[in-house]
This record gives sequence, C-alpha cells and structure tokens, in this order.
Amino acid sequence: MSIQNIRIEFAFAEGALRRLLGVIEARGWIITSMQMGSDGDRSIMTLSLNPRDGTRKIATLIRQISRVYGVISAAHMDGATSFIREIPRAAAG
Amino acid sequence: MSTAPASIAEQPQTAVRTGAELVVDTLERLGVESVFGYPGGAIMPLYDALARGKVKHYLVRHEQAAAFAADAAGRVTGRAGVCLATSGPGATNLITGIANAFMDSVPLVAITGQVPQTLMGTDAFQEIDIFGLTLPIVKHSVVIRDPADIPAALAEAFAIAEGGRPGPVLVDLPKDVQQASCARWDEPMEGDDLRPSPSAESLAEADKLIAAAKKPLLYLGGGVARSNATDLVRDISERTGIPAVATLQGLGVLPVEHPNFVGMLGMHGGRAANTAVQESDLLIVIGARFDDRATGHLASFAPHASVVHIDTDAAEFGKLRHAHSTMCGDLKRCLRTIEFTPGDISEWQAETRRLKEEHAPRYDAPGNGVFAPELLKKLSERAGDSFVAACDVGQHQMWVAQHCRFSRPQAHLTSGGLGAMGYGLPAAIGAKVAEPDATVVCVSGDGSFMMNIQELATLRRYNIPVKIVLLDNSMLGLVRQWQELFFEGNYSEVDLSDNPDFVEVANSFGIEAFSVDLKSQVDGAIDRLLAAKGPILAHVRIDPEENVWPLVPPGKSNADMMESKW
Repeated sequence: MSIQNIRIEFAFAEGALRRLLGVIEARGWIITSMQMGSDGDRSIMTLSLNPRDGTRKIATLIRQISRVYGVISAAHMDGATSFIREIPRAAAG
Repeated sequence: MSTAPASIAEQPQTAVRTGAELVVDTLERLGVESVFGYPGGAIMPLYDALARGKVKHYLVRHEQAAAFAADAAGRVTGRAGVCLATSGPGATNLITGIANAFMDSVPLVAITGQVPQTLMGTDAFQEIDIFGLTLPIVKHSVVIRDPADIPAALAEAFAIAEGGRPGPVLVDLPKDVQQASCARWDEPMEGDDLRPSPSAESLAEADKLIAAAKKPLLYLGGGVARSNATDLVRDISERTGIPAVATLQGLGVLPVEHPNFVGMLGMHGGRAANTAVQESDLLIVIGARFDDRATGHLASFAPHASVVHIDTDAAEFGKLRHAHSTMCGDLKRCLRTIEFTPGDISEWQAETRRLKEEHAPRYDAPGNGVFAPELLKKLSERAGDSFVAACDVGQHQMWVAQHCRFSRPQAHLTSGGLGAMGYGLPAAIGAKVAEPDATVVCVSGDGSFMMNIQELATLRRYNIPVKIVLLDNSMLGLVRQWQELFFEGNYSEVDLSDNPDFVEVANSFGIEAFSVDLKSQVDGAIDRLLAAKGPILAHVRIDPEENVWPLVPPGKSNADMMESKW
C-alpha cells in the first residue's frame, strides 16, 4: 500500500481536530505522520496516510473529509487524482 | 410538511435572559412545537425554563426512547426532531438514537446537559465527554460555552441537521451556561446555500446514458424522501415509463401497486427486483448509497449496468460502486435538469412487469395459524393512505417492508442502517405526535418490544392512539433463522419462551390489549385495531419456525436467492 499525502484547511473550533482525525481513522486509514499549524481562525494540517486495505480510495476519503462541517478545503497532494473542495470562508466558522 | 432548512424569526433584545431561557426562546422561534426528553441534574435549569415556555415536552421513560421518538418526528416532517437528556448516563442513553439518525440521515437535534465548565475534565458526578463520545455519529456537534452564543448556535444546529444530507447535531450545554444571565446575545444569521449544482458535463453524460439504455432502472433510496423529491420521482417514472426498484429506505416513493414499481431489492428483496437489477444496463441511482444489504456480493451486483448516481452527498460517489455519471446537489434540482428521454424500452417494461407478476408474494400459507405477511398486507391496505408503520428490527421488519403498502416513504419508519431493536414503539410515539392524523402502527417482535417496553407508560400518560401489532414467535426470529440456515441448526440464545404475558403487561400499563392466535381471527383483529380510539395492542402468536423469504445468503450475489419451500 502506498502512502497518501493530504492537506486539510479547517476552521479553528473546539473538537475540530479530534473530529477530523476520527473521520480518517474510522474510514480505514492509518495516520503515519502529521504536521499542523494555526493562525487562530484557521488551521492547516498535512498528513501521511496508509490505507488499511486495498479497497480504500483516497478520493472517497477526501470527499468524506470535505463534508465535515468547518472544513475549508481538503486536497490530495499526490499524483493526478488531486481533489479540492473550497468552501466559502463565511461558512466555515 | 416542510423540508426547508430552519429559519428563525427576529426578536428584539429587551430583557435579561438566562441561558436556559434563551434555549427555550430559540426553540420557539425556530418553530419547535414538541420535544422528547428526560430531566436530570445537569439539565434542570433548562427544564425549569421549559415548564414556563410554549414547547410541549413529552416525558419518556428512557432517554433512548426520546432520541428514537425525535428521529421519527424528523423522518415524518423533514424538520429536526428534538430530544433532551441530562449529562452522564442521560446523555449516553441517547447514543443509540443519535447513531440511528446518523446512519439513516435523519434530521435530529440532541440537547444534553453538562456539568458546570469548572468541573468539566475533573471526573465530576455524571460527567461524561458526550461531545467526544458522539463525534463519529453526528453530522456536527458543539459545546456552548457562553450563553450569548445560544441563539446563533442552536439555529445553526437546526440548519445543519436539516440542510443538505440531513443528520444529527449534538448541542452540549454546561449547567453554568444554562444558569448564567445574559443581556446581549448574538442573533442567528441566515446561512448560504452551499449545495453545488450539477455540472454541464455530468448532465450531458447522464442524458446520453439514459437515451442509449435498453434496460434502464430507477434505483430509489432514502434520499428521495429526505429531499422531499417523491412527487418529482413519481412524475419522472410515469412520464418515462422507466421501471423502478427501491431500497428499504426508498419504499413508498412509488406505491407497491404502481405498474412501474418492480419491488424492493437486496437481501430480503423480491426476485423480480433483484433479477431486474442483475439484467439492467443502466442504474439511475437516486439518493441511495449501495448499502451491502441492498447489493449483496458487490462484485457481482448489476454486472451489466452503467451507473448514473444522483445524491446530495458527493462522498457517496464511487465509495462502493463506480459511477459513469455523478450529479451532486439538491435532488430536486438535479432531477429537474436531466432530460430523462429514454429510447424504446417497451420490451424491458414488459419484462419487468412479467417478473413482478410471476414472482408476486404468496399468501396461501398452509395451516390455521396467523401468517404475519398476510396480516400486515391487509392491515396496511385497510388503513389506506394514512397508514404509517413504525417497525422494530427483525423478521417482522422485513415482512413489513415486503408486504405493506406505503403511500409515501415517510410512512415507513424503520431502523435501516443501524438496525436498532427497540426503535418501533418510541418511533411510533414520535410519528403520532408529529402527525396526529396518521394511522400509526407499531409493528414489533417479542425480542424488540422488550427493549423499550417501558414506553407503554408514555403512550398511556399522553393517551397517544398508537396501534401495536406485536408478532410473538417466542424467539429472536431472524437470528434463529440464520442459525438454522447458516450455523447448522445450532440454536444459541434465541429462545424467548419465558416472555411475560404481553396482554397482561399492556393492561397493567392501562392499555387495551387482546390476543390473536388463528388466521380466522385476523380480520376481526384488524377491525378492532382500526376502530380503537386510544392506544391498543394486538398480541399475535406466530409460528416460531416461520422464516423470512426470499433471502440472499450473506456474501452471495443477489442472483442467488433462497425461497420458501411451500
């Protein structure tokens, strides 16, 4: 299984980090590394992920992350299958 | 009925209010008429304010029932049902109900009391991190830490619960926030409609696939009801003649007698529907998610079909089955933009109608005992368009799905994704409160009924005229059936022959009840149920060895169906 790198930008709010990490693990991905920074309103996180089995698709995970309330953008950082969903800033808070 | 996301009327800020009063004010302004709950220490300020407000509170006898009742109200109305509980065990008792709403995409707002903020994180009495515990089973959640945030946060909770793909939202309210006084607060803001519109490319591809298909099939899921798109789907089906199958949650979009409706697909679906899916060359999937109970063995599911997938939630696209065309957005908006102009599909229409006729269910079961499918079919037909079934989980749930007539998908309340036993009775309460003119029938089994039997007290307290059909085989019937078929008849912990006398139990709660033992008593029993003015229970004894047919064995293709031997 190849490592997949993703980048998530999300509104800084109570529980937001736990919620995102929970989605990733519950959908069948192992977090192998993570970096995060924040400017007070927004946080940006980059993660390296390993799928638990061959049925997990990174595009599906990105969509599942994108629908989490407060996520501003989620992107697959590798290859040609990058998927980005932008949410207006006003809706992210 | 409205499925518009929550909106809130403006209110002048003229007085100092407590946080608890702001909760009640906001619920009233959001148009909430009824809530279901159970008080306790950390939510006492809210109950104090509730008693002085206009929102009607229904006191259940277990918090799980409050969540299930609110779930049912949400399914029936399209507006978020509301349940309340205190911190700690009150909150944890809501969890199954919240999970149920999450799995079936039902709008629900769960409000929990929490210990004061200074005690949070200290293992205080009845402190539990309900916010953390429910993270995987909510659409969103929030701990409100300032009373000034309450109106905006609550309005946002309703908007999130009801908008897009609906789901449950948890609002955790520390006791000190409920008690604190507040002179100024943030007013709710109207949210933007963020639902995307379908792209021109996906539209063109969908139109092309539909026009070219020889055997197109509408595959209808619960999203049709959640998006209030039933009338539109019916219109499309009638205008185009495209045959349709439905998932468990999609039943009622087309009534069972509709000539274009082939049946329910899946593990306990009909042979006609499953065969049509296997033969189809195009599935037009509307608000469905390729659940494993619907698809059976995924790799052999609909092997000849291309897929047009239309859903409010883009995360469902390609999750389990590749789609050749995807359209994300409000279902009604998507459906209105597709042309739906199939070619000549007359042979396919005739074929699906022949399949439906050839594999129609039989009701000529041998013997004098009650044949539950026949009873349920007759009951739903006699009740007519006002019939609403609130099911528990097990064999009876599948018989309801297979044999009842539903005039609309909101008439079929069933715990589909989670499969939560104990759902039926509280769901019936929630449905009847939300829709008083409906003929609400709780169809339960002896296993499920015991899981929330205490709610007979709620029925009695408010004299809610729910009709209960308790199908008693003194077994955990579906487990027994699987042990018979797939575990070599090794019956392990399924015997419930020491059940109480359900008629006496109902009577002890002050509820009219009677027994039905013979096929010849069924018509009279239906008469009595439908004529009852108050709550009533029919205790129906059925054959413990009766099985649900057809059945696709687990892990098998939907083409490999087992059927009744008679």
